[in-house]
Amino acid sequence: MSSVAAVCAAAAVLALIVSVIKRTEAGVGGVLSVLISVWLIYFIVQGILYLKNGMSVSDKYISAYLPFILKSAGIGFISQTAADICRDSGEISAGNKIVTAGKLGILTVCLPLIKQLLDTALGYING
Amino acid sequence: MDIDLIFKVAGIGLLVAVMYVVLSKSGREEMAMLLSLCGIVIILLMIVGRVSDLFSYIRTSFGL
Repeated sequence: MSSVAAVCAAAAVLALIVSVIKRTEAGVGGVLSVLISVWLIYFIVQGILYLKNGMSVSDKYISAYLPFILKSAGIGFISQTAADICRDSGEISAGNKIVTAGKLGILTVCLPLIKQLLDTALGYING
Repeated sequence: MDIDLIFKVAGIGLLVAVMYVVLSKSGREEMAMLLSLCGIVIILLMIVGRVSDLFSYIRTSFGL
Protein backbone atom coordinates (compact mmCIF):
# COMPACT_ATOMS: atom_id res chain seq x y z
CA MET A 1 0.00 0.00 0.00
CA SER A 2 2.80 2.40 0.83
CA SER A 3 4.45 1.65 -2.51
CA VAL A 4 1.21 2.60 -4.28
CA ALA A 5 1.14 5.90 -2.40
CA ALA A 6 4.80 6.52 -3.22
CA VAL A 7 4.22 5.82 -6.93
CA CYS A 8 1.20 8.15 -6.97
CA ALA A 9 3.16 10.93 -5.27
CA ALA A 10 6.10 10.49 -7.63
CA ALA A 11 3.76 10.54 -10.64
CA ALA A 12 2.15 13.76 -9.44
CA VAL A 13 5.53 15.45 -8.95
CA LEU A 14 6.71 14.24 -12.34
CA ALA A 15 3.51 15.55 -13.96
CA LEU A 16 4.29 18.98 -12.51
CA ILE A 17 7.84 18.81 -13.90
CA VAL A 18 6.47 17.79 -17.32
CA SER A 19 4.03 20.70 -17.32
CA VAL A 20 6.90 23.11 -16.57
CA ILE A 21 9.11 21.65 -19.30
CA LYS A 22 6.28 21.57 -21.88
CA ARG A 23 5.91 25.36 -21.72
CA THR A 24 9.26 25.91 -23.38
CA GLU A 25 10.23 22.49 -24.79
CA ALA A 26 7.14 20.69 -26.02
CA GLY A 27 9.07 17.82 -27.62
CA VAL A 28 11.15 17.01 -24.55
CA GLY A 29 8.05 17.24 -22.37
CA GLY A 30 6.19 14.80 -24.59
CA VAL A 31 9.03 12.30 -24.52
CA LEU A 32 9.25 12.65 -20.75
CA SER A 33 5.52 11.97 -20.37
CA VAL A 34 5.96 8.79 -22.45
CA LEU A 35 8.79 7.71 -20.16
CA ILE A 36 6.65 8.32 -17.08
CA SER A 37 3.81 6.25 -18.51
CA VAL A 38 6.27 3.42 -19.25
CA TRP A 39 7.50 3.59 -15.67
CA LEU A 40 3.95 3.42 -14.30
CA ILE A 41 3.04 0.47 -16.52
CA TYR A 42 5.96 -1.46 -15.04
CA PHE A 43 4.31 -1.17 -11.62
CA ILE A 44 0.91 -2.19 -12.97
CA VAL A 45 2.36 -5.28 -14.66
CA GLN A 46 4.17 -6.25 -11.48
CA GLY A 47 0.87 -6.03 -9.57
CA ILE A 48 -0.87 -8.18 -12.15
CA LEU A 49 1.89 -10.80 -11.92
CA TYR A 50 1.41 -10.83 -8.15
CA LEU A 51 -2.30 -11.48 -8.71
CA LYS A 52 -1.49 -14.21 -11.21
CA ASN A 53 0.76 -16.03 -8.79
CA GLY A 54 -1.98 -15.94 -6.17
CA MET A 55 -4.73 -17.10 -8.53
CA SER A 56 -2.99 -19.94 -10.35
CA VAL A 57 -2.92 -22.26 -7.36
CA SER A 58 -6.32 -21.50 -5.89
CA ASP A 59 -8.89 -22.79 -8.36
CA LYS A 60 -8.71 -25.31 -11.17
CA TYR A 61 -11.22 -23.39 -13.32
CA ILE A 62 -9.23 -20.20 -12.92
CA SER A 63 -6.01 -22.00 -13.75
CA ALA A 64 -7.67 -23.46 -16.88
CA TYR A 65 -8.71 -20.07 -18.21
CA LEU A 66 -5.84 -18.02 -16.79
CA PRO A 67 -3.62 -18.22 -19.92
CA PHE A 68 -6.39 -16.70 -22.05
CA ILE A 69 -6.96 -13.91 -19.55
CA LEU A 70 -3.25 -13.18 -19.26
CA LYS A 71 -2.68 -13.19 -23.01
CA SER A 72 -5.62 -10.87 -23.52
CA ALA A 73 -4.36 -8.55 -20.80
CA GLY A 74 -0.86 -8.54 -22.31
CA ILE A 75 -2.13 -7.71 -25.79
CA GLY A 76 -4.31 -5.00 -24.29
CA PHE A 77 -1.42 -3.47 -22.37
CA ILE A 78 0.93 -3.44 -25.36
CA SER A 79 -1.63 -2.06 -27.80
CA GLN A 80 -2.91 0.55 -25.35
CA THR A 81 0.61 1.71 -24.49
CA ALA A 82 1.56 2.04 -28.15
CA ALA A 83 -1.72 3.82 -28.90
CA ASP A 84 -1.19 6.24 -26.02
CA ILE A 85 2.31 7.05 -27.27
CA CYS A 86 0.88 7.74 -30.73
CA ARG A 87 -1.90 9.92 -29.30
CA ASP A 88 0.55 11.88 -27.14
CA SER A 89 2.57 12.52 -30.29
CA GLY A 90 -0.53 13.83 -32.08
CA GLU A 91 -1.14 10.80 -34.30
CA ILE A 92 -4.66 10.01 -33.16
CA SER A 93 -5.67 7.97 -36.21
CA ALA A 94 -2.61 5.71 -35.88
CA GLY A 95 -3.46 5.21 -32.20
CA ASN A 96 -7.01 4.21 -33.07
CA LYS A 97 -5.75 1.70 -35.62
CA ILE A 98 -3.39 0.18 -33.07
CA VAL A 99 -6.29 -0.19 -30.64
CA THR A 100 -8.31 -1.91 -33.37
CA ALA A 101 -5.42 -4.28 -34.07
CA GLY A 102 -5.19 -5.06 -30.36
CA LYS A 103 -8.90 -5.86 -30.22
CA LEU A 104 -8.54 -8.20 -33.17
CA GLY A 105 -5.58 -9.87 -31.47
CA ILE A 106 -7.58 -10.39 -28.28
CA LEU A 107 -10.43 -11.82 -30.34
CA THR A 108 -8.02 -14.22 -32.04
CA VAL A 109 -6.64 -15.37 -28.71
CA CYS A 110 -10.14 -15.93 -27.30
CA LEU A 111 -11.49 -17.81 -30.34
CA PRO A 112 -11.09 -21.26 -28.66
CA LEU A 113 -13.12 -20.03 -25.70
CA ILE A 114 -15.84 -18.71 -28.00
CA LYS A 115 -15.90 -22.02 -29.86
CA GLN A 116 -16.17 -23.88 -26.58
CA LEU A 117 -19.03 -21.65 -25.48
CA LEU A 118 -20.88 -22.15 -28.76
CA ASP A 119 -20.38 -25.93 -28.54
CA THR A 120 -21.83 -25.91 -25.05
CA ALA A 121 -24.84 -23.90 -26.21
CA LEU A 122 -25.37 -26.23 -29.16
CA GLY A 123 -25.17 -29.19 -26.81
CA TYR A 124 -27.94 -27.71 -24.67
CA ILE A 125 -30.07 -26.95 -27.72
CA ASN A 126 -29.68 -30.40 -29.23
CA GLY A 127 -30.34 -32.04 -25.90
CA MET B 1 12.64 0.25 -14.23
CA ASP B 2 14.73 2.84 -12.47
CA ILE B 3 13.34 6.26 -11.63
CA ASP B 4 16.79 7.81 -12.07
CA LEU B 5 16.31 7.78 -15.82
CA ILE B 6 13.16 9.89 -15.49
CA PHE B 7 14.94 12.50 -13.41
CA LYS B 8 17.87 12.41 -15.81
CA VAL B 9 15.53 13.13 -18.73
CA ALA B 10 13.79 15.86 -16.70
CA GLY B 11 17.16 17.46 -15.93
CA ILE B 12 18.18 17.37 -19.58
CA GLY B 13 14.84 18.89 -20.50
CA LEU B 14 15.18 21.73 -18.02
CA LEU B 15 18.76 22.38 -19.15
CA VAL B 16 17.77 22.42 -22.81
CA ALA B 17 14.85 24.71 -22.04
CA VAL B 18 17.05 27.21 -20.20
CA MET B 19 19.71 27.14 -22.92
CA TYR B 20 17.01 27.54 -25.58
CA VAL B 21 15.70 30.65 -23.88
CA VAL B 22 19.23 32.09 -23.49
CA LEU B 23 20.10 31.46 -27.14
CA SER B 24 16.76 32.85 -28.33
CA LYS B 25 17.17 36.03 -26.30
CA SER B 26 20.68 36.55 -27.66
CA GLY B 27 19.42 36.38 -31.24
CA ARG B 28 20.77 32.93 -32.21
CA GLU B 29 17.56 31.32 -33.28
CA GLU B 30 19.22 28.70 -35.52
CA MET B 31 21.45 27.43 -32.74
CA ALA B 32 18.50 27.35 -30.37
CA MET B 33 16.52 25.26 -32.83
CA LEU B 34 19.45 22.88 -33.30
CA LEU B 35 19.86 22.62 -29.54
CA SER B 36 16.20 21.73 -29.14
CA LEU B 37 16.47 19.12 -31.88
CA CYS B 38 19.59 17.59 -30.31
CA GLY B 39 17.88 17.42 -26.92
CA ILE B 40 14.88 15.61 -28.35
CA VAL B 41 17.09 13.15 -30.27
CA ILE B 42 19.26 12.39 -27.23
CA ILE B 43 16.24 11.79 -25.01
CA LEU B 44 14.55 9.68 -27.66
CA LEU B 45 17.67 7.52 -27.92
CA MET B 46 17.59 7.10 -24.15
CA ILE B 47 13.97 5.99 -23.92
CA VAL B 48 13.47 3.89 -27.05
CA GLY B 49 15.37 1.03 -25.42
CA ARG B 50 13.21 1.33 -22.31
CA VAL B 51 9.98 1.14 -24.32
CA SER B 52 11.34 -1.94 -26.07
CA ASP B 53 12.25 -3.43 -22.68
CA LEU B 54 8.70 -2.79 -21.46
CA PHE B 55 7.16 -4.56 -24.43
CA SER B 56 9.53 -7.52 -24.01
CA TYR B 57 8.75 -7.63 -20.28
CA ILE B 58 5.01 -7.72 -20.96
CA ARG B 59 5.45 -10.39 -23.65
CA THR B 60 7.45 -12.66 -21.39
CA SER B 61 5.26 -12.01 -18.34
CA PHE B 62 1.94 -12.70 -20.04
CA GLY B 63 3.17 -15.61 -22.15
CA LEU B 64 2.66 -13.97 -25.53
